[in-house]
Amino acid sequence: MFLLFITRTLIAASDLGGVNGFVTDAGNGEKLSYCNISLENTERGGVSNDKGYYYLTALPAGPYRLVFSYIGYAPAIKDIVIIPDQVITVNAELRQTTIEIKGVTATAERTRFERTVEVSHTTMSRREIKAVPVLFEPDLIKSIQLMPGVTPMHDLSNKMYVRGGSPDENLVLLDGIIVYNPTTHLFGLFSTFNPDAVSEAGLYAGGFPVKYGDRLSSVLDVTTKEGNSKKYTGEASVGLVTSKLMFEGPIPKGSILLSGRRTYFDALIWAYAHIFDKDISLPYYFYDGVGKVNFNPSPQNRFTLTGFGGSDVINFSDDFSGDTKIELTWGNRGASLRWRRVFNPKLYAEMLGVWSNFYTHFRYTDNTDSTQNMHFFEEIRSYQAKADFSYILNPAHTLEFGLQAENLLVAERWTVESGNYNQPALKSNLIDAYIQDNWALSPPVLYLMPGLRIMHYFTGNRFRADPRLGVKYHFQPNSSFNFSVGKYSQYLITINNQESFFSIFDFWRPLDKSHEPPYSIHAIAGVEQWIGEGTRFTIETYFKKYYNLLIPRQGNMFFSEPTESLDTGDGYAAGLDLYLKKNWKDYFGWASYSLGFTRRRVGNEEYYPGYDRRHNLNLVAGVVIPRPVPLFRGANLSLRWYLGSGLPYADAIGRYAYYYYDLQDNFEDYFSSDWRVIKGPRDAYRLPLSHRLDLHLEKTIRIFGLPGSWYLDVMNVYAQKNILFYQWEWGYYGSNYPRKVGYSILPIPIPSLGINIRF
Amino acid sequence: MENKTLSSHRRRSRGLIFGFIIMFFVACPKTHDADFQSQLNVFGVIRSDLGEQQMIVDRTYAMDDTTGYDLQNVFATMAGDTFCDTLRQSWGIIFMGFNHPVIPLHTYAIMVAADGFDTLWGETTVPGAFTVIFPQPGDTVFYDDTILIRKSPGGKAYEFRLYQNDTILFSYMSFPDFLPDTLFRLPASEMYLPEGNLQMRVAAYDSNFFNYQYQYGSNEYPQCGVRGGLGAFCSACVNSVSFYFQP
Repeated sequence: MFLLFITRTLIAASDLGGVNGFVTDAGNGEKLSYCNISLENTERGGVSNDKGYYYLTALPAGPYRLVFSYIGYAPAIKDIVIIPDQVITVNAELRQTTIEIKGVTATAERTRFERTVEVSHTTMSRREIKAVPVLFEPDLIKSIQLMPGVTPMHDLSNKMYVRGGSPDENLVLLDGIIVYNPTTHLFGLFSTFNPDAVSEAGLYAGGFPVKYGDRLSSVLDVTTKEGNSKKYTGEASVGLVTSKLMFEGPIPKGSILLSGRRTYFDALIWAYAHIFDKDISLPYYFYDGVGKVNFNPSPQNRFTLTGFGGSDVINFSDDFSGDTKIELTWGNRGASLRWRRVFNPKLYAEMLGVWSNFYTHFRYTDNTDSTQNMHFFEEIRSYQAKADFSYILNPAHTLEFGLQAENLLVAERWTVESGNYNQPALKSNLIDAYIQDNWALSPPVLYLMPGLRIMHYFTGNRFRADPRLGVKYHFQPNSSFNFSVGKYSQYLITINNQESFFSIFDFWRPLDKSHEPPYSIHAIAGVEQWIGEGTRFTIETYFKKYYNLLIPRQGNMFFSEPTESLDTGDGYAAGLDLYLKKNWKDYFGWASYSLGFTRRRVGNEEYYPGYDRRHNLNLVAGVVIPRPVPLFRGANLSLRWYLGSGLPYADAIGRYAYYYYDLQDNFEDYFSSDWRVIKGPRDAYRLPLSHRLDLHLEKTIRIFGLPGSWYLDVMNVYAQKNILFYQWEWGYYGSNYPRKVGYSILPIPIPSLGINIRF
Repeated sequence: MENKTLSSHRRRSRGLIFGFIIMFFVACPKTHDADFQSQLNVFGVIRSDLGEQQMIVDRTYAMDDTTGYDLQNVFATMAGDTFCDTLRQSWGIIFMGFNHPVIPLHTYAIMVAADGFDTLWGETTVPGAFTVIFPQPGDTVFYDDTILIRKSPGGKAYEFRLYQNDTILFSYMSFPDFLPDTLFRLPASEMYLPEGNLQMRVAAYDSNFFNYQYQYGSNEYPQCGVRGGLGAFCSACVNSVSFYFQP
């Protein structure tokens, strides 16, 4: 019925015409999302979508001047003639400019504000990611933690706790590829995304559209660069931890991008040990890489092949005599093939095939006794096929609909001398379909976005429907009221504790038959206000109710296995997020504040989980150092100050002597004891307030005649000892009672530096 | 007009600031009042082979409590079927008394009170009597022999010890789950014993002892046969046999 409706609409003739096309950057061919497109001297206009595609429909026949405007770019002006019943194609390439163009105020954020119903959505460009002070080197997730609603566990944490949701409730995508464990490098210190290859990262902290599913809390959608289709360029950088290389350039009818990085401490130490004959080594390194090829056989078709992979490797083989070898590796890898097709000006589609994998290997090899050899392998692997359509029905309605099928497998294999001990693989299949209407009910005042996602999960033969609704009401030209309500289901669960300070990766499992699927209801309301040019202020309140949450049983040291042993609970998260962002000519900054309350309930126990941070404040400011400062004149200085209230923790409230019995006749001679603790409720105490100042300084220089820069980062400038945990320790001053000692993970300032070269 | 707008704007700003301050105070993270209240902590194992019973009477402490044992006016009683004796403080935390037979399958109770503490009550039922089938007193045990003991009704854990002149030669603890039948077998060949006269002592413990020793993890709160405090009040039926070992 739906296809019939579309077909009938397609063939319906009228005396109106239209114009469509793509908007790109003239310098590198990258798409320009949310570019403002207007017909001069009329009130007609539109905006390019997130792929740079636009379509203006129902235009009366006649000559027009079509204006493409985007801040930071010179406007492109095209004279066109609209012909009845025809759609003409006009592609535009905009040139970057440093000159401020009067009247051009359209940023992607501003255009989104005006034309789209996006609630709880913030984006970070590559430039912003790299401008934030960091530990050792830029990191996408660390930068995302500065967004409203996102809280870290501690100073070095790379996990995202979004609006009271645990990390396993976040959908993380890289060009459509699901990244199951995005923060695995260096034991969780770095994410798997190389910022050099990233074009933009968009975070939905809640209320995400129906095209995303299978997660309860948030979506982090990372888009890599398209690859420069105009000229060959590259970038190399050397930091304290990694060296990176990125190359991009044109190929016939397309572009290519290659990017990679690797830690090199192991190689340096190896070289040092060999030169100076020292017996030292560092048996650890990580690497990752992204490759992308775009091929445009015709203006209507584009094929994009993306691949990424990375691994952390611990290898003790060189440390020993060579008789034994211990190797532990883990990593993400994935690939996608995307076919973008403009079937006709109104129907835009993207078909996507995805393979995604996370694996861990543990291998022990004994060359002297092969009976001791052992190999353990675990992986989560999924294949996905997706088709996303965007159909511009008329100026008031743009329908987005699609289908998605997913096959998931979790496998575990033990191999020893006596044979293979394979656990039965856990498999699941999921089929999703969605439809959403971007409805300009009363433009430019009222926009609606009703949507529905339907899922069939084959294990247990479960059907679920997740309806969602978004509303944007512009009560003033620079102010809007945003509202969103919706249901969000999840079929992929984790069996490890999400409250632990350190976990390198999650252990994912498909939902089994014994549990009902977890789901959440989001209700979000807020106001977005633009104050002058380039200043955006948002305030949002949210309430998120959880049902059927699967929580590892308390007391399990690592995880609840099998999944039947998980506890079922529920809970809620509520709070308020404030975000103020300002971009000036020579400086930028933002402030994000989150107030959050998170509760979980398992059985009769109700508690604040270990990531319930009540207050979270981030202040980020960047400035170009002015002329009077001689040494650093022209350098970019950015500062980040963080303040967070304490997280809940369980502590010992008392101690008692535990007595050992000896089968002798006299207690006086033979009894012994040790102290044991009486634990309080799991959330009885709160860690103290934590705060920290970080700094990033970057100055442009020329290196071997090439443009480049050096940078210096200092994390924890004033050496704040933020307490990570407390421990009761005995034996102080010869006393017979313990003392509570707080430990900080980052007690001193950590500097890091590096250089970048562009070619 | 402009002043009016300005004043309205200021009022709104002040209202917002005031609202945020209120919100900060209201939303300050609260914690439970994890109040700690000290309780009596006792540990005692009454035994069928002892003429006088013994018990430890202690208390729990706050983690940073710097005081040591400071119980005042401790009143501890132990009662059997027809007797009820007050225990005397022997040394520090150790209380002794109750010079009556501890009879298998009989129930015994304690009551402990001290100034400022809830009264603690405890109860244990002594495991049933059991027999050592081999060796009998005076027997000679050879290297290939197996010591054979019939299990105790109500016994939840067993301790087996061999002494030579009060020196422990061998000690072994066993649990019911490891005993598939009613007999308890111990091959002498596994004990690496020297030749000579040896004394064997076997204890069958009750469920309170088993729970205290083996069931509770380090972070649990042991209340094994007691209420009104923590600790364990346990009992054991003990058998002793002397024999000669010939390797």
